[in-house]
Amino acid sequence: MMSNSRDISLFSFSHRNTPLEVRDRLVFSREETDAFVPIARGSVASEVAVLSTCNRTEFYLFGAPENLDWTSFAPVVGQAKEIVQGVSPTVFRGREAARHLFRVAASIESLALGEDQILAQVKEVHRQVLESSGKSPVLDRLCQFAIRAGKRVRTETALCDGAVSISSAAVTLAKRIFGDFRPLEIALIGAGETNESAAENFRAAGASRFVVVNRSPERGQALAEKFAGRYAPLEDLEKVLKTADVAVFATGSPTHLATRDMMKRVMKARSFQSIFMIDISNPRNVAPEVGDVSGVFLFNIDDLEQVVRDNLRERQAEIPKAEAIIEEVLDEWVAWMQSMQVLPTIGDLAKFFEAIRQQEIEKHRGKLSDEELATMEAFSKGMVKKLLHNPITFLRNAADQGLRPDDLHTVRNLFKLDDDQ
Amino acid sequence: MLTVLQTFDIILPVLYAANLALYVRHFVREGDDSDSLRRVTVPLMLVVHGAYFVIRGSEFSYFPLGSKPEFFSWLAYSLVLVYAAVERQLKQGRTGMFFLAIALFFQTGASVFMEYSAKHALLLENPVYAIHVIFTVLGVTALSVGALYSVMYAILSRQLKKREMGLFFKKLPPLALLDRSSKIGTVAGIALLGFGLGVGYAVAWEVDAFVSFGDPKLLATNVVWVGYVLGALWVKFKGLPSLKVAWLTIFWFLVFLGSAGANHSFLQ
Repeated sequence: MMSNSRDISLFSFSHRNTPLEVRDRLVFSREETDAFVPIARGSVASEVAVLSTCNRTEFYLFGAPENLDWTSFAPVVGQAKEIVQGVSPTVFRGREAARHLFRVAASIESLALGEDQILAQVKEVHRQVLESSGKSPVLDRLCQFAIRAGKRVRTETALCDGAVSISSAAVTLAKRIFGDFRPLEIALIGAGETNESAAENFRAAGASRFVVVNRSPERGQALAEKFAGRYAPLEDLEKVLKTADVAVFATGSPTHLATRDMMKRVMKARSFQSIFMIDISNPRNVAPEVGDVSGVFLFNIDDLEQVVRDNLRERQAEIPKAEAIIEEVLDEWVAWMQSMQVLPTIGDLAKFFEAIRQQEIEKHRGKLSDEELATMEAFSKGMVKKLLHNPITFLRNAADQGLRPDDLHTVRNLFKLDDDQ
Repeated sequence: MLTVLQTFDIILPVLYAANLALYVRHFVREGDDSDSLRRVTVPLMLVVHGAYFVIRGSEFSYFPLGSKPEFFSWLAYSLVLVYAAVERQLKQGRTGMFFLAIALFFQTGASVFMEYSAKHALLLENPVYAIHVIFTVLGVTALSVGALYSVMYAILSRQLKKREMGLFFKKLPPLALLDRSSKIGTVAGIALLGFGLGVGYAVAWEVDAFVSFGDPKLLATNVVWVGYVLGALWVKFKGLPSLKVAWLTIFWFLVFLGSAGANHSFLQ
């Protein structure tokens, strides 16, 4: 008979080992996960959790059969998703499985190093574990440790600091100037994909007032509608710049749309209120001399790429610090798992002694008065407590100091605990 | 009572240092959540320091601004008071360590050189004169807060223009916030100093002192104050690039410091 494992098993499909088209087929929605977990629990008699993002789908199991491999588990997954033959996951067990989840939560394993979303996705797995029918105490704890690792890495290192895309770098720079985006007017000059992405980033950062300036009214109006903004024709650019706080230029214009003279007029009209201009066009839409005008902060694509490169370099330099934190949390996890190993034995030991105590009390029940029986109860309870003190202390300490499986077997054999079970 | 005052003179620098440590931690550490702690410790320090002035005033029976150490202690107190008001208004504490560091410097000097004698000018027993001094010191402090924020604005603005994404770029509050802080400090300074000067004239009239507008100290202070007022009106109605406002604020504050230094102190 196959025994159940007392460790975590993990089957991981990610951008490191699986092509995008296969990953796409394996993505689990929230509803699909909620439906799949009870089926998987029933099939492998273990705790099950699924972490599914656009870059990874991972199955975490605790208490599954010892030798459960992907060949055995694939049919279970196959009940929910189409399994592609010839594509196998990376398998992690025990400490390595926990370490992997902690690295994922810390975003070291992410395609975009230091990205923020993954921690929320691990929290979603935790929600799934807590809400699924049937208890999952070990995976519950594993998620808690992973979230703790993710939070510590974010607060104690700079792994997640700084923007790593052109659009987000623009938002970061704008934040250094304005702080709060809510009252700001964002002018998008050009209605292409670049400006759409920029608008998404500004909206995510809190901006809500958009003006789209474009040569073609159709595309301009479409983008303006998407962001609940207004459209203005290209001829009105100077007028728009008089009120905008941020202006993102991304058009195919071969000439400069904003010149030094124009910006001098604009700045006077806006009482010299600062304006942040981002030129991510090629060729440039904003004359470089505009950056010399007082109150104008002009950045082009080279500046933003430099910011991104610097930030990525800084994030990579933080990996060793993040890994050290993960190892600390991992040690705490291993200690917890070891204490979990001794808890059933401690419970069995206590039950064994209690059963003997009650047997002996029962033998004397008819021969003693109520008062004497109460004295016997108190006496026997105290005695059992004292007798158990040293063995329980030994087990607890052994758990903290690295318990050998033989130690546990010795204790169980000594009292024939497995027979009683 | 002397022992109590001496104990205060030990406790106060310690309190300023402890609060400075909290602000340094807030500046350096990402995700520091000591805001709620500082919301208690800073007012507590101000209350303790305020109690010190009350005890000192009642012990020696005069408004405690008769010596340089007492003046330094007032500077430390008012600097933190004005800064705390600005922080409360703008809900950001990233710049606190700069102000607390200066306040700690003043308070430590005050505590080390503090004298414990009742020798003082008769004028310091006049409560209206005390109001004049309090508002004048608060006004000067608010102007210095405004100037310090202008320095930060100029540094961050320069870093942004030169694409230097260094420590200040990462740690200082946004430019717009520094600009607002500088303006709040300066406008508050103009109002407080203006009121303080007005009360000063009232005291002079009350004690029947001869006031000459040709007195260099008075002339310099009035000219600087009028300069601030004109500058603020110009910025308000005509507009000026924020960087130029920052440089102007710094320059005018240096003029103020220079004129004050030339006249030794406000008390002379």
